[in-house]
Amino acid sequence: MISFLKVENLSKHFPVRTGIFHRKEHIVRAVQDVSFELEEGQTLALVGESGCGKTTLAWMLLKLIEPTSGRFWLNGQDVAELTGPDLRQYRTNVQAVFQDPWASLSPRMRVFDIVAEGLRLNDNLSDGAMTKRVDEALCSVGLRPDDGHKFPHEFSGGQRQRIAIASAIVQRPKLIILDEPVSALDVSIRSQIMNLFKDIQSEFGCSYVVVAHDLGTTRYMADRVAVMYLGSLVEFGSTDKMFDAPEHPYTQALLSAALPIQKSDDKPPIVLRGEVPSPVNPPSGCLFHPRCQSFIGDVCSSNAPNWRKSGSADHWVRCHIGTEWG
Amino acid sequence: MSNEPLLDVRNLTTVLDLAAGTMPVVDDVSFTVGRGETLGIVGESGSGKSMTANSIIQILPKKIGRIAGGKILFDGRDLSQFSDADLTKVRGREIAMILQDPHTSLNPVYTIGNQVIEALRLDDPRQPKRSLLGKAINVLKKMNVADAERRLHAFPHQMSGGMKQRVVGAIAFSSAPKLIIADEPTTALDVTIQLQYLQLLEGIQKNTGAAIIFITHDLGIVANLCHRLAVMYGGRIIESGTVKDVFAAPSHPYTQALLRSVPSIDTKVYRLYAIEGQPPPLTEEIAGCKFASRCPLATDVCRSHRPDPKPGRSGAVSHEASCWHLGETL
Amino acid sequence: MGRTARLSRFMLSVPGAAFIVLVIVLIIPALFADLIAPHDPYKANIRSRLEPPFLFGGTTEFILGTDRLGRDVFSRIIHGAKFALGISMVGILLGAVVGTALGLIAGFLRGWWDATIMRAVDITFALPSILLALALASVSGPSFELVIFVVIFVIWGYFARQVRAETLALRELDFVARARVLGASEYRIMWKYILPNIVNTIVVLGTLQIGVVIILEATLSFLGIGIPRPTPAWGLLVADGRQLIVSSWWISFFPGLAILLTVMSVNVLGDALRDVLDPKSRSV
Repeated sequence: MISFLKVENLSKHFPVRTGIFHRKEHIVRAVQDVSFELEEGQTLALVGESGCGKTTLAWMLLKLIEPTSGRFWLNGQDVAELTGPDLRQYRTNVQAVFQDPWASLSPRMRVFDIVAEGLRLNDNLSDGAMTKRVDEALCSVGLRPDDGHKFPHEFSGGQRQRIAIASAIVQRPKLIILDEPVSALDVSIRSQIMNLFKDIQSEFGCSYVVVAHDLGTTRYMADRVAVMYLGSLVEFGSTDKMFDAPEHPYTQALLSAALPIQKSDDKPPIVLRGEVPSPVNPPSGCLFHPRCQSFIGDVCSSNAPNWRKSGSADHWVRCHIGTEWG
Repeated sequence: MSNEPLLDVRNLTTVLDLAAGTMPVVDDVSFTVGRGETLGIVGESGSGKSMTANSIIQILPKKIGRIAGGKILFDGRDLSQFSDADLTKVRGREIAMILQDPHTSLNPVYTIGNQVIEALRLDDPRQPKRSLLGKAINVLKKMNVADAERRLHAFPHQMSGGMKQRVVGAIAFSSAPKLIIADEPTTALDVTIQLQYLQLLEGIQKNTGAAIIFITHDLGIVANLCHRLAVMYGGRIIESGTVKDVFAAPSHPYTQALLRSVPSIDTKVYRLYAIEGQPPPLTEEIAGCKFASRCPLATDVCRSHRPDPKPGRSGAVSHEASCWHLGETL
Repeated sequence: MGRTARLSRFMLSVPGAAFIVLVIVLIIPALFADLIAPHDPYKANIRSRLEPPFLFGGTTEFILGTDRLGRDVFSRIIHGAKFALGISMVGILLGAVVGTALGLIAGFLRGWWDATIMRAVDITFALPSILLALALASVSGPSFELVIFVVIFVIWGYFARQVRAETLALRELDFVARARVLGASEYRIMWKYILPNIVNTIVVLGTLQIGVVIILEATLSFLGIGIPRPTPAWGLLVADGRQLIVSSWWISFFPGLAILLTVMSVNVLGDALRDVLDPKSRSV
């Protein structure tokens, strides 16, 4: 069976020049050898701290930046090889909602034009049919068709995010990339928007790739989670299994650093040493070893760990602990 | 030391004079902060939480912001009656401030050492800078700034956000303030860095006995860091009490809804509670409860009459909520 | 506030006063020169040479006096407004179009385009425009076309630089990324997403350039390489009175005053417009 979205060894390296005359060139490995699969109608969360490469990965899926190496397929089609009408089809199938609803809507376009843009570019619809589609999309996100005449600045943050969502769903895409879709919103608005995403998914059957740093959002939205650290995946699996029994020390630290409203246990939180190292000069061996609370010795600092299956099914982890090394 | 609180804010009202009219951004707000205590002020953008904090040391928008009523008793003195010159002596010394964005709260053209020493010299500007070097290093070390001696010569842009926020913290604590106002200090930081920072803050507070007002939208931080909290909505405090009481028995429908709308990381939730609608614009004059337009429990009295604080559901003395329907559960 | 109240408040402010001055000195004369001017600006009249202005020993017939050939200074200034307004409108419009298009391309497409266009800007800024005009005039002789060309040459770089800077900031915003995700072409993104967001800047910049252009036109005409005689361009009028400045000061003084008032009010208006249209540069 062909998987819906398949990503294989995707990498993105950025050259950075330093020094007064920009003569020294370094490579930043923003994303390094990332592979995963996603089934249709499911939600995958990319989780990690700033600089871990989750947004770069999402932008590659959106074809906003080209991968340095690796490939990915949507419904069995190699996305890198798409041209002409197939590329156009990809543009309608894959949509995005960005973090900041103040930056993601052009201030000089009316809401109707913002929502209709995708249809104008990719479909040949009559004016009447287009208006109908736009009105439907506005209604699906809880706005009124009248709102189409207004400009974005007449709306609050939550409503603006609804406009962005309407413009993402108007072409009935199969995959929507959500880049921190609620983190710029107020607490009381976040749950409205998260619920809206769930409603849209059950109505249209689309899949989501959510970029998130908030673990509560992740647990609520995602079926599967990919944890990233310094450009690499370190743990991947079903959300429930990973939140209930995280195996990678970084995931454990991340979960314990989240400050829940109700503490479920009195375990003291894991406080990590230091900060995320520079991706220009990543650590040897396991990328996480300089900060790892479960560091087990030379193997961590000299050998990069391979993927291994965790105790439960549908859950993989990249750590020496639990292998013959550990 | 007496039993009276360090800060006693009574019926504070702060307004902005805009072209469209006078806008009460802080509307008859009263609260206290005890010595060595941490008070969390929770609210969404536009709830007036930052304006409340800014009113205490009166850093309001120039020309349009002013305190229209109430008292701000700090250590027995009413700050609302202070002249600008007197306030300058309080700011940065007795009351220090940590702001959200570490990238803009440090001056990019001065070294870290320069800025820390500048803060240390506030008390006596004649002190030679050299003599304060050791003290500056100490201050930075207290905030766990690694490699403090070398960092003195670093510029802000050479440091990470987390490290800069520690420097800001070090500057805030350098004058041994009695009160620190922290306005969303960790919002720009990653979770693991946030945890490091909050633990540091807690540790230093224990050592110095400073009180903290922690302004945040994050209920998780309040639950884990603060002793007491005040929930703000539309410029008013709608519920206040100890963290334990309020989280165990949230009484105002807004507080209840807020707690239920935050997704848990421990259990799978299938449907989150969502508060429909959005906060009313502050320019709108509302006679009754400001939450009434979004509240499923609202009745006519809510829309016409402003509720006064009443004992909350926990029954504890300090727990109060302003709602006409305290008996009902959302 | 009602519309009338807002209007009267504006009229009483400094920009409002500047606006009124501009309308009186530049716009009404330029539009209705033939109706207002009491005399033919080109017609010499030997009998009434060097008449002083009214109140300075002259009569109401020549309210601002006459020049060496007996032409009415007032009428010549009125007709001169046509050329001041016309040349600045056409020159700025063309300069803005050229500068905006190139700035947009430089800022949005970057790379080779950016490097080439920005070097061209540097070169135009480095070349002294007066010398360029002198060189060109020595080949083709003074003409309207030459003035327009020099105006475009002098101002397009300001538009290109400013538009490029704003484009660089705008192209990083998510709404541009969103347009790409939707499949919009580079051309469409520039035209429909970036350009509408910099129109305000262009308008403000254009207004502020009016003063520059009027001065430039006057300078070129004064030097005899701008608008050819006997056209009553303001710069030429000032030049006409050059030798008689001590005895018959009014020949140069009143055209000079017209230039001064126009340029000052345009600049005040431009600053006010910037505060309204361009919130980024507003000082808080």
